[in-house]
Amino acid sequence: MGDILAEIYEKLNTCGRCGFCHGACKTYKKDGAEFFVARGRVQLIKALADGKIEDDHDYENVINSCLLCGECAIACPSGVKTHELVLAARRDYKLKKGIRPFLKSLILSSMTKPGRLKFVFNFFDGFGKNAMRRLDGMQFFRGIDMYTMPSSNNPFVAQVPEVVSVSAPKKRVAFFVGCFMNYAFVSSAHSVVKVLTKAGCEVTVPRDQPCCGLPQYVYGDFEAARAQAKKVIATFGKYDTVVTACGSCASMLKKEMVELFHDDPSYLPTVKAFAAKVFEFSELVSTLGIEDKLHSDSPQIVTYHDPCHLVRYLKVTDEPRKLLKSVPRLQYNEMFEANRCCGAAGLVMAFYQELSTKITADKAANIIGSGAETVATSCPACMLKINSGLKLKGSKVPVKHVADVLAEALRD
Amino acid sequence: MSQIVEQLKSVLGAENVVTKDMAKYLRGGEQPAAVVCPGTGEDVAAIVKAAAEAGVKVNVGGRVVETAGLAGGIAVVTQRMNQILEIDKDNLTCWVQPGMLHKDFCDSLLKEGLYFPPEPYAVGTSSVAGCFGVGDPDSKSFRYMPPRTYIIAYEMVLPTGETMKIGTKCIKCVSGLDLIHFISGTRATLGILTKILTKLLPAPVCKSAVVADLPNISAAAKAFLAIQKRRLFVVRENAITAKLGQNILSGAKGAVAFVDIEEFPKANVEYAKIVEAELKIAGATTTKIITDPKEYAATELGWLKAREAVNLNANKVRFTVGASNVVKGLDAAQGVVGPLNENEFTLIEAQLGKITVATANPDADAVKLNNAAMKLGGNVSGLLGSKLRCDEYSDTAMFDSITQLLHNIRKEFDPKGILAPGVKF
Amino acid sequence: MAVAQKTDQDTLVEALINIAGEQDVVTGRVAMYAYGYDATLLFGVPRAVVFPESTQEVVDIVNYCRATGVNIVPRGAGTNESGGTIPVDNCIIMNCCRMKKVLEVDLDNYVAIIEPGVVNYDIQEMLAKYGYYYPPDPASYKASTMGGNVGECSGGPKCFKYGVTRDYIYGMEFVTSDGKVRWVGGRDFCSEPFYDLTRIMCGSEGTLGYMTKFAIRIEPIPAAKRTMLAFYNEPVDAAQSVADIVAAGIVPTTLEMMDNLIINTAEDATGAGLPRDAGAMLIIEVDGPAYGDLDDQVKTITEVVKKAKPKQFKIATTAAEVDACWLARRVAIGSVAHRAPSYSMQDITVPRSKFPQAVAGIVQTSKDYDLDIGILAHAGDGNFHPLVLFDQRNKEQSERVHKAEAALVKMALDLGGTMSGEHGVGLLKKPLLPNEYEPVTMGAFRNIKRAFDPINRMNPTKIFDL
Repeated sequence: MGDILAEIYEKLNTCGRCGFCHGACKTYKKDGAEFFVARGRVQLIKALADGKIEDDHDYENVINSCLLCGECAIACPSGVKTHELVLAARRDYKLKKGIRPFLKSLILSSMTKPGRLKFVFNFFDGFGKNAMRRLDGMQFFRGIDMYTMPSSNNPFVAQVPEVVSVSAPKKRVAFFVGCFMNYAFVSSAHSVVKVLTKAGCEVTVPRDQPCCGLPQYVYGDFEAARAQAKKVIATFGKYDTVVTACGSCASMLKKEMVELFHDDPSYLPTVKAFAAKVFEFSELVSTLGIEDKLHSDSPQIVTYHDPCHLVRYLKVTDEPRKLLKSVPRLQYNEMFEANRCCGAAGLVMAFYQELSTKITADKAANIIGSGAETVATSCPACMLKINSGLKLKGSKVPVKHVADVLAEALRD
Repeated sequence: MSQIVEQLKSVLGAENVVTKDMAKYLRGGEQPAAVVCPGTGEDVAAIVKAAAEAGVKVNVGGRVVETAGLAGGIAVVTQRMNQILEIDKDNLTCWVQPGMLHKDFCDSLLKEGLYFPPEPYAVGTSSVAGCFGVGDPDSKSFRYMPPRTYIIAYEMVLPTGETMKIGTKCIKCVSGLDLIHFISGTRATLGILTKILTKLLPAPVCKSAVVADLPNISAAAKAFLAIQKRRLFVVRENAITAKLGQNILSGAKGAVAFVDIEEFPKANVEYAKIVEAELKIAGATTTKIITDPKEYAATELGWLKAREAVNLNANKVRFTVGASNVVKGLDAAQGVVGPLNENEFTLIEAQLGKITVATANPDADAVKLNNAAMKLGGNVSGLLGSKLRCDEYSDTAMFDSITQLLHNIRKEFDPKGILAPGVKF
Repeated sequence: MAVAQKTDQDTLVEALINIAGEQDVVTGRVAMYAYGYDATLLFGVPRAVVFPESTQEVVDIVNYCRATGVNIVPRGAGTNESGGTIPVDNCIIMNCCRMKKVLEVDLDNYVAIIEPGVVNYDIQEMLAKYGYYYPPDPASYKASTMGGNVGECSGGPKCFKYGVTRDYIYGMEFVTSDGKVRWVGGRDFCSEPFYDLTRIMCGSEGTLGYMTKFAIRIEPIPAAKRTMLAFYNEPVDAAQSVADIVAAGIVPTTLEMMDNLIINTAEDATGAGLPRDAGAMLIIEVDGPAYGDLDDQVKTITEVVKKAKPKQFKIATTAAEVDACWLARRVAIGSVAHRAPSYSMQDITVPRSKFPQAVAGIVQTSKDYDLDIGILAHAGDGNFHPLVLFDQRNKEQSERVHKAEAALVKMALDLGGTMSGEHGVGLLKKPLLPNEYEPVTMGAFRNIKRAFDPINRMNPTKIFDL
């Protein structure tokens, strides 16, 4: 038995196998396979710990297909946090076997090296995307809409000055852009800056924008994640307020990063101090009082999707809704199961695309069912995935960041 | 043959073995060797054991026994086993002997503030065991569920003469296979009930009925549909053509609607008003809201008599079409049997979507009516309905496999085939 | 009976793939482990798991298994508390999770036609849009399939007024071990082919045949509902209220009771402010038409409850308050995990009037075997779920738990009750079944099994041995 599994064994043993998580687990809903549900994952991790099964490829699929959305933990009457146990199992697996397959390994390591990451996104934007466009039936590659997937040759940081100043700033904030926004959702990043400056903030966009480390963390590569965390703190530690508009980055910077260093007493205080000054976009903006600055001439119906990292990890749910509702003439319609995972879940959407695409289809149906003309959310990964899901269903409902909706309502 | 009669006389006493003037106990043309009146479960066990050894057929009834296939056999009349053994108010249960008249049973319980919802199949002769033996989902079953819901334990003499006990005073029980509720509707083919534990409800706080005379039965069906559309669900929602309807509302000319309401006081008043209004809209010439207990009892008895007349008439077809299709179902019936107002009777139990029509040619008309009912999502009731449905799909294999299963079950319980010889699959 | 020679694993898998398709056949050590358990502590290993998607596939699989002597164990979501889906020797698991179409919803005629893999909650969610519902809602309703619900004849908190799964199945299609398909019953109460075959299938735990379609009864949601919450000094006081409410002619939808131990574990889990010194908690819910009668009923219930001198009595007036009433009940089962890693949940049921004796009996059992036992009960039905807390890894303690289980069952039977109110027998309670039934009755069960499945291929060794 590995040390990590030994550490979590009591928690694994708490699972009473009641199966109440079946209703909550999106990966189970897809085709009803017991090994793709929280109970199955916990029992199989336990079986591995007990030496009853091998950590073969099937096992790897079991732990790596988890969305880490945390919905099962809420449904679980025994309070088992399967997403944390899966994380530990991935860590255990990483230590024993390294990270496979090749491509996942490539992506994870490329995220830590800005140059290569640029290559990955450019692949979609340049030859790759064009080549695929020419092939019939290849519009949707692994459930992602290739036509409309935004990607930029020119990352956001290259498009804005390092400091966007305003007269008599109320607050000085540093913008942690996040890889997805920096390379793909550039316009949303611009919206973030616009909203913050209109709200009277001086925004600093540091040239150096390291990866937050979440992708490495969730696949068990804690060493790489710790290295990223240190880089982030080295760059952003000097600012009083740090804001990010990516739900996943926010969760990493505020929550997981602290857990990552729980056994490093020398560095832990630094991390804690840093985490305390990080704010998710809507969290920060809702304290800035921008309501009276919002204008809108045309009515619109908007709904909101809760990214897993905001609703279940950071418990931020009211702020984005409150902000949206404060836009004049905006009718807010709550969708069915707004807080359920959209299927993006980091690399799950790339490696278990069939699974992920089915989950997104449910989300898209709920969005369409809400009657909304626009769906807003707070995480670029969700934006990408939901956009694809809606397109697959033939819907023209645009997906926007909450910042985009607000920015549109702020006149220049 | 006389040997077993003598044997039974020695067990039951000669006074309880009737061999002459048996007619009043019998229904049908064949002649059993004796009518016997057991007084206890042990008596029944002895009778069945003796019959099994002698290879003699046995059938059972509360007051009257069906004689088909019973020539030279034993007719068991349970009229002496007619007592309530125990009323348990705390658990809302009652142990009763099988031969107690169904109507008497209901009345005795009502006096104790308790309620046994199933309706007697034939109010004059039906026994409690008969209620479960026939298992007919009555016109209150939309609200209260069919009779099977109300049997929660019993003792039964199997065709081998052994006594089987099953069930408890608990309304929930899933230990073992559910032979408790399965027994309902088996018509004594698997055994003879000797002691029954029924589930009861607290007596309704308030009862009322609305009766009306409508121009025809379709008008009643339209009113009932309107009532359902208002999401108002009553206990009975019945209508019957005037000839038998006289029992409920004398002087009726078209079709008599009988709607039964058992809610708490406030809802009861509101419901009755709405029901009456809808019946008037549908063209009722006379309507009456009945709240006086005596008048209510008399009206209900009138309905039960009409029901008895329908149930005991062999020349009829019973089919279901779904609650929302009763009007269409009646149109279809009219196409098959002719004008319904001139018919011997036509009965609808609207919430259940059930229609019963009298016909001179039940066999031929059943085929036509089943065909019409299937177009409306329904079918003729019971085993006949299963057969006709399979015929309609040209799927005789399925019907054969269903009857084969019925035979298998019966044979496992009654390998010698001595019980209820009149019942054929 | 001669058992056919075991087929080679590869031949079996190949045959199943030919029938159901590669996507719908699962093998491999990891996956088979995942199908080895259910909500009990039992375990077994199947040879393969197959997910048929149509009745024809079921027939083909059954025919193949009959010919080759492979046993069939049906399974839905595997949330049962009886070991009913635990793999047996030389078996495949036939899983209904991918037969999950809702074929028809006929609101005006109060019927829906569904496949067995439909999850109870999914029907509720779909019907709610139209103001309808399907009344039986076992605690596992968000996870459990209708196939499983019918197989176990599931109950739930609403049984006292609305009955159990059996009462809501109009008809069904099933496949028996001879490979024949039968549709019995119809879209109403009147269509059973003589014997009420639908009823005997309900709660047969898959031992008679594999069910492939159901016609279920659906109903409009009652117009109004009132929820009340009472805390008492002693469970006996709660039992007194239950008896008095029923005696007052009121049939509540729900009468849920929890004892002091569960109140405390629930408080540990939620911090909702439950009184830790209360001996019992009772949730009371009534529903019906919206003409003010419910307020009268609430008044009556209030008086009745006051008679038993409760510590606290609340009438929920908002949705949030209703939710707060239910919070403790919802977390109850799991919250005991904070006290001990394993629990054994019993399902004993006694006549309602024996409620106080049953509580006393459970407390006595707890003392006799030195085990923590928490009590949850559907008080209206006399259905108890004593939760025996222990640690599976402690062999000696586990032995005591088994003895305590048997003692609880004996206590229930002595009080004129039954060992299972809604969970079923499966493998877990099979050894105790002859304590409840005389040999004649056990023989009658076997008669039924032989009539349906003479070759004993469908979920063999469950409930009883043929």
